[in-house]
Amino acid sequence: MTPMHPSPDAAGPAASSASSARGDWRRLLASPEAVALLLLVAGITGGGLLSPKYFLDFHYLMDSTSLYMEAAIMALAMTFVIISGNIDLSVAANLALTAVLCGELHLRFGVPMGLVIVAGPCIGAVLGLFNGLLIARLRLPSLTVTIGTLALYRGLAQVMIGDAALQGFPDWFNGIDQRYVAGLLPLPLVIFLVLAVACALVLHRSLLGRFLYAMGTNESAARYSGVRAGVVKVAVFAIAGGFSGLGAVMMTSRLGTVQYSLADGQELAVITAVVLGGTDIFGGRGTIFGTVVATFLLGIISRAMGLALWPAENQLAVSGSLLIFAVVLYRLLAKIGTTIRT
Amino acid sequence: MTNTAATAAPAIEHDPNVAVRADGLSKSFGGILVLKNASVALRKGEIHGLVGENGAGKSTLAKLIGGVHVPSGGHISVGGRVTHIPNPAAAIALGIALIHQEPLTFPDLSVAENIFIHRQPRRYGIVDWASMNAQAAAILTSLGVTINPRQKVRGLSIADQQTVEMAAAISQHAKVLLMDETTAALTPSEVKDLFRVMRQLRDQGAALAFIGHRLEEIFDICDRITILRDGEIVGHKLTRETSIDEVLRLMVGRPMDAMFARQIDHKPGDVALEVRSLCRAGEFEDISFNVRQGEIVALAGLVGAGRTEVARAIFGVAPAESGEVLIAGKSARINGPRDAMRLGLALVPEDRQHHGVLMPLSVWRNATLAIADRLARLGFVRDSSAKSQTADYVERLQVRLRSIGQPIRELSGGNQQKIVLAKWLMTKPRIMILDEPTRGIDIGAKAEVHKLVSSLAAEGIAVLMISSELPEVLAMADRVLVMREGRLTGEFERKDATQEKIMAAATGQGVAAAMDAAHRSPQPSGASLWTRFRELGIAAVVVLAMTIASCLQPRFLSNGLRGVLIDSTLIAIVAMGQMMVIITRNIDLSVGSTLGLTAIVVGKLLLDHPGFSPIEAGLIAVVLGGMLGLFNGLLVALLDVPSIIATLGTYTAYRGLTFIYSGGKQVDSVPRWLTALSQVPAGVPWIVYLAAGVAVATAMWLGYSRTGRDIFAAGSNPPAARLRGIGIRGILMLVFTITGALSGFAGLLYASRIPYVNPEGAGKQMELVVISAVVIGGTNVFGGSGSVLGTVLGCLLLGIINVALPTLGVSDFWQLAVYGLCILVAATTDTFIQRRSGLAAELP
Repeated sequence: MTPMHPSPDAAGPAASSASSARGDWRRLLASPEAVALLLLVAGITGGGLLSPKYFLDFHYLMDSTSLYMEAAIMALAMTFVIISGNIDLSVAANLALTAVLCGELHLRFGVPMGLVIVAGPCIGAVLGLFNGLLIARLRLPSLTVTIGTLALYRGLAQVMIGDAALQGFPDWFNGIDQRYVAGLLPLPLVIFLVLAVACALVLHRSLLGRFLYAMGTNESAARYSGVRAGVVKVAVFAIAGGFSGLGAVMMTSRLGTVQYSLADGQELAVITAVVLGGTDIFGGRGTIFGTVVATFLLGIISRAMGLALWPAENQLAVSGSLLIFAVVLYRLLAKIGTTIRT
Repeated sequence: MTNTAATAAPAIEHDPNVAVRADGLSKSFGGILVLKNASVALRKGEIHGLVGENGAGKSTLAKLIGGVHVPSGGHISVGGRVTHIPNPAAAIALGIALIHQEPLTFPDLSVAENIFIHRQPRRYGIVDWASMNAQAAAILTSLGVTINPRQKVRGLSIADQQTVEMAAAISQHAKVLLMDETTAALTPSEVKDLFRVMRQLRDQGAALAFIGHRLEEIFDICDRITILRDGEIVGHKLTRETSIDEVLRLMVGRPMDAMFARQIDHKPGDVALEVRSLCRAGEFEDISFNVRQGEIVALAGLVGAGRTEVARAIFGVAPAESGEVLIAGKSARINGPRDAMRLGLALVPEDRQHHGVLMPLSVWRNATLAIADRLARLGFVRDSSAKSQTADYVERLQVRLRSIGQPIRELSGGNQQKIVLAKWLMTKPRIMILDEPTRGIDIGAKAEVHKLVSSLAAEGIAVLMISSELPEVLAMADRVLVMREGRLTGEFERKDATQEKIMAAATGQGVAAAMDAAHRSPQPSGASLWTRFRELGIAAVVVLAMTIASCLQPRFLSNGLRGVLIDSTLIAIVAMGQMMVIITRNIDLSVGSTLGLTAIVVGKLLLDHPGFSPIEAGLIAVVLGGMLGLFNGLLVALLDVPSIIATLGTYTAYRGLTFIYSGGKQVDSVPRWLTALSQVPAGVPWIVYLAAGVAVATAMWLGYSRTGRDIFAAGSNPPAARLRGIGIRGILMLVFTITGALSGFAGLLYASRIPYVNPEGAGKQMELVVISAVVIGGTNVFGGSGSVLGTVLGCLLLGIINVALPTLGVSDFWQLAVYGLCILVAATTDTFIQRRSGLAAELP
């Protein structure tokens, strides 16, 4: 519809940039990332007040992060996937299958552990590649495909080792969470932070990131503009798989054992972190910063529940509710945001 | 802002011949006035044309009368009475129907259902299919078309779909029909058919409004013409008292030849682009032409002639099936836009909104999307160079905007188009294909675009310009090619080209009826064939599996079968609900957790109060499950939470509640009547009868009730469903509630199979099994279709696999992997086969 009046350029550049700058600040404050950050600060403060013995203990806080760093790493990749307009429900199952395969490689076939550590992410990437090919080539919905691989991968893990718990990894490999960088930060946390920085660079500064946002916004227009949507899709799912593979290696080291039920149900935690961090489930919008903040927020909540001696199963109720709460809240915020703008 | 016009209007003497009158209507969107003080009268037994350029307001006027928008000012009178028309359903109730250019039909439903959806004739309270088909056939015959009312709408040509829409309007006793650009995508013979139908309706006393761009058509069909320009009405004329020239003058407001005059002072160079014998079935055939450097070749013709398809083929979006494309004399393999770009091609697409711009993104991100990789160093983009390039082009093309950082959707159509042009100019193309480059932009911007294209040609770029506007074609082109129904029918040098010659070639008589037939695709009644065949296929697999199993394990048929049936029943009950959810384009991951939660709650209840009767327990289970499902429904329907997220959340939350409620302990000793459900009277456990009952009830409800049919409509085309008055929100809440109730019921029955209920295991992974069964059963993962029989067969098949695996010596552990494989294989094969036979939905 062609508007009858000319575009508003009468305001003049100076005046318009000033008012747009003010508008930018308001939009920033109302953004989901800001809310998540606020909640994180509130969470730490609240925890500190209620349970100062633990919450204000730096070492305790640091150590407690190790429990969820694998999920955090998967959340980084999931951010990419969701921004591109897709979803991957198979990440946790991918982790389990990769862990089983790695375990078998070392324990049954005697492959040196060092090689297995490298093989882990590669195996995960191949499993993710399978997702990507089905989704890109056959143009099947990512939801359907990854529900299928969710079952298939975990099923295969179950087939391979049944109820058994594989053990017997070398001493130098086990206990990744007992290693500290600069004597202060647990190794898993450092790995996560390094990856987070890398992912942020890729997402916000690289060509791939540009294409992910474009595809999540309007895939056909992106295609018409020369974006190779098929390749990007395959790549993003392979990356998700690779991160799952890395998580597999880390979790195996932390637990010292491999079972088919590793990371069972963690796809929920991963998606919650991404959505809580402000990424739009429909694609086209999101930041790594938001995901990182949300990850720590979820970790704090989990710790708080643990300290209150809530059994792990009860925490499920809270996680599920949190996801719903986050989505509803951000939808409302978005609606308010658009009314501010107009 | 909106004029809720029940405000009494001054008594206007009502002319009984006037069906609908608009008085001083105005409409603004977001502060921009698009229609001002429009008054028009639609008379019975008359076809009234509304003409004007793009953005003149004619479509808005029709939409106001049709109830799609509410007026900002002025009022509408129907039958002499001032009326407020808040939505399309209200308009239909008043006998006013809007027929759209892109028909809003339900591809998965039959023609008859498309006509009667939400108002199907009923007998004894259930949908009377026979009567509906007969009535549909009668209406179609009265319109003079031969369409089988039983065939699915998917696969019908656009023309036929529009006819279906008109039939629907007639069936609703519409006395006023507003046809919004309905001929834009029709072939000339289809237009003739449409006009015959329109004249028939007119002669029966209907009032028709016809919006169109082609003045020849307007003068052919309309008795009266109203001309709009820039949102205002500038003339009412009786057709016989005016001429095309006069109408054109009123539309444009200036004499015809004040269009941009192109100065051509260079000779074209070598051939830059050549195509030879390009063919693509159903779209175009034997297309050969060339474009030289510095030349502007216009590709003229009516909409639907196949020009955009040729452009898309050259650019690689939908490559030709045979023929050759040569760039600078060398044969080129173009499999995608990237290949085309590498060879120096650029395409400015016809549909700016969907293919040209990414609305929420900023101007500079849009502008630099095509050269993003060229701007990148080592894979990293440099925003600064992107922004400076954009600023350069903004200045060069004189784009009016606030800042290059603002979202592109805030720009006017003309400025958006300039950014699209800038995007492609940045790629430094040697060949540019422009598809309707000035569509939907105002006069001033049009002239600027023409000037730009002209200068591009002067710089040596080869330009192929697709345009439906003859003045533009004549002003710009060095050569004019004309297409009609997929073939080239004319070529004219600039000096020889005239409007008449081009139009003659574009609408020529007696050309290949072959292409026309292709347009009027005789719909493979393959769609329903495929469904039947598919169910037979699964049934065959089921029989095969049972045979194999009983060969390997002779006791299978006696013992194993019972186990299969019982396993399948729980799955089947829940699958009925999941199928409905998937039909509406959603998913419910929480069914297993709902089952578990109700199982624990009811189990504990029965333990503590053994006095509850079976009926009471059943009611509690169903109501509890229903409430859990309703919560999902509220999230999805009222709060707009995507179902994947909502049910992922409740999947976890309900499981958590299960643990909390049970205190982590399992519930032992369920009452005897519950375990009796798995006992065997006459060889078949009670529970199987229950499940069969549920399946039959579901099939009846989905097949023979209006609400059941509404569910399919809601999944097949949600916007169309809304327009027909189907409350999507209500449907979604209903479907999720039913699914929850069924899961709850299954939760009660779950306790009948094993004497205790474990909070962790109850219903675990049930959602995966159920989704597998539904997908195997043939329910389309994209929504809109599904069958109870197929789903039941899918459940049987999975039940057999469950039982057969241990029989075959395969460990239980394969279960999960098998479910996954089933989902993947079923979805893949379905999509593959449907795509092959052209039955699948269109994809971006």
